[in-house]
Amino acid sequence: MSISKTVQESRQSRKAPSKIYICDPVCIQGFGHNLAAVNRYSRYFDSLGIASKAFVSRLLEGEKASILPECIAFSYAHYYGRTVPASNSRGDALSARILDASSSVVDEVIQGVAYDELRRIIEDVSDPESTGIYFPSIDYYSFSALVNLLEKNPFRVYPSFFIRWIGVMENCCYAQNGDDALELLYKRLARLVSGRSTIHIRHSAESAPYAAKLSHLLDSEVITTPTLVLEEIVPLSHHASFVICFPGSARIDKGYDRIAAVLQALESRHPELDYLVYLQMLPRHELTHHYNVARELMKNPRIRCYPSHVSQHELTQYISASSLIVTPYCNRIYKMRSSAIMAEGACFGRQIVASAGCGFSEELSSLGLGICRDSDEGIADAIYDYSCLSLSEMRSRVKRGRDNYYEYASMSYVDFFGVVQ
Amino acid sequence: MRKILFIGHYYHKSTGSSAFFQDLLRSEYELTLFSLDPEGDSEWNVLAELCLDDYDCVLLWQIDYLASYFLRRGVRTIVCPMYDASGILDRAHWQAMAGALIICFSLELHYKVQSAGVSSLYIRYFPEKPAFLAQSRSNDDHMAGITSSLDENKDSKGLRVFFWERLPDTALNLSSVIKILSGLPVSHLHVHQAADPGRKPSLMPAHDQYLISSSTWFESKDDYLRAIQDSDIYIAPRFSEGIGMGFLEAMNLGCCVVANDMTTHNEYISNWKNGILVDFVSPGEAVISATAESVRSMGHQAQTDAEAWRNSWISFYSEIALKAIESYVCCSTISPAVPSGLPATVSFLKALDELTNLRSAHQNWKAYWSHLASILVSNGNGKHSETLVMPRINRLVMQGKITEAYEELCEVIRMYPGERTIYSLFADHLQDRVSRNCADGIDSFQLQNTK
Repeated sequence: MSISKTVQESRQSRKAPSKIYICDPVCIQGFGHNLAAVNRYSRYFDSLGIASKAFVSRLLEGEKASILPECIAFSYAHYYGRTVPASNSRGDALSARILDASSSVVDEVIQGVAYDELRRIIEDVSDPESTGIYFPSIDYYSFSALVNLLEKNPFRVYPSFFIRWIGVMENCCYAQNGDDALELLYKRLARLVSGRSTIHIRHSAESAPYAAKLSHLLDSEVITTPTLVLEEIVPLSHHASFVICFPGSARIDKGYDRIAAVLQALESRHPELDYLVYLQMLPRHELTHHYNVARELMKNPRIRCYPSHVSQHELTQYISASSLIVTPYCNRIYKMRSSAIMAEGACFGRQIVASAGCGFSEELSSLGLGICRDSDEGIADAIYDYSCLSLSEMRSRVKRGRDNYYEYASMSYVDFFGVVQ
Repeated sequence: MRKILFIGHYYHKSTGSSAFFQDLLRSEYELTLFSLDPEGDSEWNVLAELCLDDYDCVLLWQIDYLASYFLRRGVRTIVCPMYDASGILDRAHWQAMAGALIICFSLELHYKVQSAGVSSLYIRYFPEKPAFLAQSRSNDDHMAGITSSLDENKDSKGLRVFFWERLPDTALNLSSVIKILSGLPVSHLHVHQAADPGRKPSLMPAHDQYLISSSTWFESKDDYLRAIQDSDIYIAPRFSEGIGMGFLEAMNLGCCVVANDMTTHNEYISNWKNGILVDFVSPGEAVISATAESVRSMGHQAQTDAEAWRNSWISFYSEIALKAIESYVCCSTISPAVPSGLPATVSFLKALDELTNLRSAHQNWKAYWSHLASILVSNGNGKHSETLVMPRINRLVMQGKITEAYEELCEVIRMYPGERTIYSLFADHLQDRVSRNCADGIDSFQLQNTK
């Protein structure tokens, strides 16, 4: 990895921000990328003595507004596939919905809106020298807005930008080739940064493999910042059956189609194991194509199936009711990606059996959060091995893993924001 | 306590198949029960006189086609459709229920509803084991007790089969069953000859391979269940089920269920593990071939699985259902589907019929839109469509923005609450009534609208 000298110098020329704007237009998901995550960052910055203000999607405005802290502002009107009835800064009425994601008009509209919003947020900054704009899971259009804005250069001084890449939200409309469009933006940014020492941008990625890839593409240092979790551990308790959960939205990329094979291997290799499984129903678009997988799986009387959409609270509940988390993710799709479930497991105190070869597999093993296996049989054997552990041994492993993860995560963020402790 | 108006099919009063769900709801809600005969007329008048404001929610058990009626009136509506009644209905049926909480007891039905773009909740029910079994044995030695009972009561040499012939005039009749069983060491086939209303039972055949006995009536449900318990094989009497209380009870009693390979049979039966799935629709020369031992082993597995499913219902799915209902009843808002000030809907019904014809008649979109615009305007569908929407749609069409134009039109159609869909869902006699009213130029819904 070669990082240009200019970038390194610029990184060191500013102190850690005393105020951070958390910008997350995509925090409208049921879990993971949601308001809870935004709040979590806000609380984390509080703990570091950094004031924060969050700019979130207008889709969340309304009923949820009353329960949110004042530091949250509803700013973003764009989110691919959905837009909010609103007007941009010039007062132009925007469509209430995006009808056709393949339309280049839509792409232009979102680009324009994202640009206006970023500009408005920066205008709100009173002290750019000591303010950071943080994108905890940057999306394509926010990144595009940033590059466009830096090119047009409407401000004399800019706040620092902290970009966290998660490999999920970096999609653009179908009208463009996403990879090409993104790569072009990387190059434009790299050119801008190398030419202007007044631009302060730091990058991080959710997983180490993705960080290494981005570092090359951006010609910049990219560190790893794992998913931040601050919740309390949920004590493990004894159950009559060994309770396993396959959490996260049931999707094929998350290994839903492997679950039957894993359980079959578990039953044939370890018939004495009395187990119970919690999982979620496939979401609508996946059920349409994988109904037969779901039907065969649901014939197993040991499986209890939550709806495809559960709240963060319900997710926590069913992880808590389990003794072990299993994530047989497809490692081709997850090659670069991390897993929010890994973080949840570490946080709530559950060991994880995961697929080897995912973007988070190495972290998971080295931090003692669980073990990774290649095959369905390997995963089945690992589940059985965990079922043989005493409760005290399991608790001890869980605590060790959790401590390791916390230290690793907090050091990463301290490094990312340049906080001197 | 919140109130739910529970509307079911009158037939369920005798079968009691919805009793478990009523009991569940009573733990949290005050229930008012109402039974409806969709083919009759009298209940409709009673239903129309009910004050819907007295209830927090209406729950429709199986008679899902009524959902639009309540949703249209801004009433929160929970729908529990059944696969055997509604499984073959198309997307429009489900789309008319958008805004309702749909609870599916069948995965396939859940899949169908979801595929129509409508949300639903899938839950799995399993009945409790019969009281006489629960009373006679402690939980600890339950399995051992059942096994020994089976060993004592069932002929160890040949298999005993129970078949309730409900559909004698179909391929799921006695002669098909005898043919399909011909590869099994059967010693006794008991046929319960209580055919569904309007059907005549088969004649009992002479058979020299094994004993065939029959019954037409059981003194009590326990007697009926004991007869099943004394059997090794239970032939599921229908092609498909909504939940499938009959065959689930048989699994509970340790029978190997032989069932048609359709929902919900094939959602509980893993073929040749805890039961056998066959094609009764076109059985051909299909014959089941197995030893008595393997059949009994499948029966034992069925009973083990039944216990796990029952536990799941008690400690999991019933809670999921209650949570979803609570969330729906307490938190959701249903906007009355008819915005005030809209014109009568009769002309629009006609326009929509023409719309369907138009779609097939026109080869290109532009001609279609143009023609449609003229129809909507000439039918006098109010200022909304005439002065605002149609010119905009036409402009979009002229600009080649067909998708946007289509969405705009859908928006207009949504202003009128899916009349055609609702119409198509009514029972035949109601459709006739609506048609007559349309012909007379009367708003079809005025007749039933209590407000």
